[in-house]
Amino acid sequence: MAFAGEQASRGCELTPRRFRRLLWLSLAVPATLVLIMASVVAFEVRQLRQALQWVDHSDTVVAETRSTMRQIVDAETGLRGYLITGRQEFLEPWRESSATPAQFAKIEKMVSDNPPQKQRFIATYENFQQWLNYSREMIRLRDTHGDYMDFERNLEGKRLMDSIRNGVATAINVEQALRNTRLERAAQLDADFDFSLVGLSLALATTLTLFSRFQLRHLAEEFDSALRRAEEKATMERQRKRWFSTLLRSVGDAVIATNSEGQITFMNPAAEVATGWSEAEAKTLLLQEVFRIVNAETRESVENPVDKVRRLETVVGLANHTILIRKDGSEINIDDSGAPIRDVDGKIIGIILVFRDITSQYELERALRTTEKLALAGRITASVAHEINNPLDTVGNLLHLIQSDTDETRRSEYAALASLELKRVNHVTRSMLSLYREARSPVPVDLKDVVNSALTLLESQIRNKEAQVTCNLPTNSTVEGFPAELRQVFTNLLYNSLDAISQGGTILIECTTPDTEKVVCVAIADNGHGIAKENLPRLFQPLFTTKGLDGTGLGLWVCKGIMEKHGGSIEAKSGDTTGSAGATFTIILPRRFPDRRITSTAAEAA
Amino acid sequence: MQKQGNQWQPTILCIDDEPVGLMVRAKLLEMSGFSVITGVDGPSAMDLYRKNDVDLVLLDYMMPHMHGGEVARELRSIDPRTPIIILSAYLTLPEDVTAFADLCLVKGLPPPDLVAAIWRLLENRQAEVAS
Repeated sequence: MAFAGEQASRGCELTPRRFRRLLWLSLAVPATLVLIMASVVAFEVRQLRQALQWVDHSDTVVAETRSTMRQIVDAETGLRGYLITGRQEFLEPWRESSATPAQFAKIEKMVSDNPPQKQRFIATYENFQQWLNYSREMIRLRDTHGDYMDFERNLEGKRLMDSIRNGVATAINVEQALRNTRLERAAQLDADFDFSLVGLSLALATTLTLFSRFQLRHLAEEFDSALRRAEEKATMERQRKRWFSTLLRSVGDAVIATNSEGQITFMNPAAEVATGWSEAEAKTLLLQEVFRIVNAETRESVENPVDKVRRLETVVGLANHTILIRKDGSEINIDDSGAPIRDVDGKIIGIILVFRDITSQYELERALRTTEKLALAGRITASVAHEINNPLDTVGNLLHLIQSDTDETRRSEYAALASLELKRVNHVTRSMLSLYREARSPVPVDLKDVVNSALTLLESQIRNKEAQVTCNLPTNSTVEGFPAELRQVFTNLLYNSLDAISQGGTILIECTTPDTEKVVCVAIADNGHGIAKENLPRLFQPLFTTKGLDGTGLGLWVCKGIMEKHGGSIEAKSGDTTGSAGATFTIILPRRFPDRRITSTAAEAA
Repeated sequence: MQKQGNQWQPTILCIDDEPVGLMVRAKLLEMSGFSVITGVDGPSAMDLYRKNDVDLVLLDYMMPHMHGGEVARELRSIDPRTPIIILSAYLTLPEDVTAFADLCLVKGLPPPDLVAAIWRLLENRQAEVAS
């Protein structure tokens, strides 16, 4: 059944080729039938005409024979007249019968198709010749006054004439009978012709009717199914359109489509919520009127995505930190991409813009960054408290000694010592504060200073672990950037190294690039427990930690973010592959800050 | 335990990894009438404790190798009765540290208060011995 249905459905497809074939058949079949009928009719007409010709022929033969017979009779009558009267004028008809042989020849020729008839005429003609000889003899006898009245002789004449008469009569009778037969045949043919004409006409009419009916029905079916298919296609198209429309309307992301001029043609509900414009209001407006975007930090307007897509003719993403100004003037952070809509020829006929409100994500990330900064501060509090409280305790003790002692030399010694201890406190508090205090724009930063202040903050941890820290940074390791953020990176990495090493472990900080390079690579290598291979890919993901509750899982994620902001990168390598333990973190920083327009986000937290 | 004239001069073992802080604290205690022995870490503290007649131990908490709590536990295993004070930069210390000390003090305490606390512990100890 399925196969038959498949066959039928395949047969039903009305292609232009099939239609032409159908049309051709509709013309060719009737034309062929008419042609056949015409041939049959022509053939029958020809046969009828032939039959009638034969009837005519017989008539002619009979007429000619009769005429010849009359001549012969006239000649005999003339001969008798002459014999009786002896007057020459009676011989006139007899003389005229000299044409009779030609007449016979003509008739013989005419009946040449009928040998018995021909034979009959030949015999009659021979009798006639004999009679002619006889008549000549009788004329000669009359002229010579012979015995032309001899009975025997005259009987001979009568006998010859009778045989001629009989021959002619027989021939005429035969020809008459032949004529009748031929006439009958003609009548028969005529009847046949009528019959076949009517029959053929009927057959033709029936065939044409049936054929046309069949073809028309076939055509109608084809037309019907074509129409049905077209309808089905249209329904499917409508459903598809509705499906796409529903899809676009139900996606969580905001979607705006424009025509090639940049006029808005579609907006989904998410886009309405995000922009504050309803689709009805926004339709036919230019995209930049509804989709007003600025850089989150510089407040400079960002290139209109329509122009950008048209310019690059490809899918484009917007720059980071883009803010959309809504209809009511409020602002949201968005993340978006634009793509060209092309027609079948590849021409751009519009642009589709997909974006989402990432304000909460943006806020969350900012909160996470702040959290991490606080957590880092918390982690180094132990160190800082030690570094501050110890000298302060000593200063307190020294002040007491100064108060109690009377020896001026010792008192000034105590005061000098107290001053030194206070300097230590000052140094630590400065380092601590520099984690937060930040410039609004990138400034030249000496990485050596950054590393040294990070080491200051971690001094007591270093002492406790008896870590051997070597810092091989050249004097000219200056980059453009935000010092507090870079200090956060180094503090984080060094803190991790101190965590990883065992008592008396080593940490090596060195620059691996020459001064001339456009980037500075700094590697921090330790001989600690290293990083498990399975953890390496997740190392820089937020909230990934191997330190349990002691870690926030944000440290390296923030480091990566800061490096990216500086146009640099950070990578981790574990010594496991070489057999020896230890981990190496390499940071790569360009000497020049990538985009001077971007200002620090850390400034807001300060 | 030494006698200087008619006054009792108790011996205090003072341990700190910060040399300046240790030196100043020792000076202060000496001025307050104590005899002071100093050491810079846990192992030296054990050594000095064994070799000398110590009345009270004053330990810094944050030190390399062994922190103050660990040193206190070791000292308790030698003599559970000698008073021990742990000085730290933190407001609170873990219980396994405080358990081995008679007193935990935060650094930055006014020197007379520290001296008073030392005398109180020494007097309590003397009273225990007498009874």
